[in-house]
Amino acid sequence: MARNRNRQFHIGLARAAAGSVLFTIPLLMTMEMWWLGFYMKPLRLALMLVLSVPLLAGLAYYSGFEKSLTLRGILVDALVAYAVGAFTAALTLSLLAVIHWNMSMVEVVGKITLQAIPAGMGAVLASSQMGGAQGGTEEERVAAPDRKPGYWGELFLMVSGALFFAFNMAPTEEMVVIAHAMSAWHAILLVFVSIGIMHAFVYNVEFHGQESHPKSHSWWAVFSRFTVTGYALSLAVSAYCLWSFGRTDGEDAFMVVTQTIVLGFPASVGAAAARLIL
Amino acid sequence: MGSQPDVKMSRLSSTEPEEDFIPAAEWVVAGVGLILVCVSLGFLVYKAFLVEDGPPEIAFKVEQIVPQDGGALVLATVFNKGGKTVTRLQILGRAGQEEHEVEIDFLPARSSRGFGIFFTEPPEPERVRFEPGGYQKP
Repeated sequence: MARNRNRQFHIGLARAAAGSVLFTIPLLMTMEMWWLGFYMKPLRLALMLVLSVPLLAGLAYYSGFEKSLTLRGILVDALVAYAVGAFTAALTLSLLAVIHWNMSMVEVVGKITLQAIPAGMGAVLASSQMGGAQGGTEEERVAAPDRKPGYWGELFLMVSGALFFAFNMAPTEEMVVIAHAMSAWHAILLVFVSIGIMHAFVYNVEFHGQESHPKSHSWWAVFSRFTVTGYALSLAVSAYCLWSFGRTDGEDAFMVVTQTIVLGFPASVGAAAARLIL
Repeated sequence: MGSQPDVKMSRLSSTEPEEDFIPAAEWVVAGVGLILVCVSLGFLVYKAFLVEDGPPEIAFKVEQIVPQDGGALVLATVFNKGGKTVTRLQILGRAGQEEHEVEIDFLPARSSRGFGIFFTEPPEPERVRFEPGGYQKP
């Protein structure tokens, strides 16, 4: 049993490394992400790092990265995912000559730390999407626990999905360019379109993993409890990412709100996708 | 989270005692993760509070002068010894009557970047002068 568990762990590690590369290649090859690694305010990066541990733990819990149900097991999973993420980020960035030996510590640590967070998320997600419960061996399928997220769990998954998508867009200059080009009417329209897409994604377009409207709840109840709340969370995640990456510094309130709505568009799609996929 | 207790119940009733066994390798990798998180955190907090965050301080060093057809290439390094990152740093290179400009995209705090300037006359190393022009805050 122990030997078997060891073998499973090694396969899991390899899958996690593959997943972290797969999910973060766009970020690893984005200039703004490298630059943020050294000019981002260190305390904001530190806060992001601290928050990433419970995030990875929650993701590990719901996606079945490992089979543990104990708090200790889930924390171990989160740290394993972070280690794998940091390792693949460091390896890929050095392979791409983005980091090298004669760079200062500040630069190297910043670049790796920032990329390790989405890479860690990729490590966890890979195991749920490319192995474990759905794929993998018969034995794994039997061992994988069936963890259906409840209401708070669904909200948590939406936050993770929103964060992952926001992470991909927030560092880019395009968020600022788009926000500057948009009028207030564009922004208002984008809010409604984002909410509409979010709801349709989960309940209407019949994707694999589509949620069914609970019979006991009215359309409005589902719409407000899941979609509207999910959208609000996506906006909060977007604002947090923009603030972390210094995109809100020195901008007036209108620009901050518009940028948040612009980033909220991909974030809300990410939130909806997370509910379907995880 | 409503379904969580049920899941736990059914799991406990259907599993062997070894289920929560965590292999040594997993502890090791998790330990590495914990160390990475703590060291990075410590480093960031140290940087935030203890490292002096003074203005950028630009310095230059001529590395090599490579004679080329119709002139020479001067290879040099620019250092930022200060505590603030600069972007679009303009550098003015002078040798005798000749003057050329080059721009560095990003020069992080306490870091260096290499650059090169072409001159039509091979200059003496001690006659090459560099001056920072201006920069943009990131």
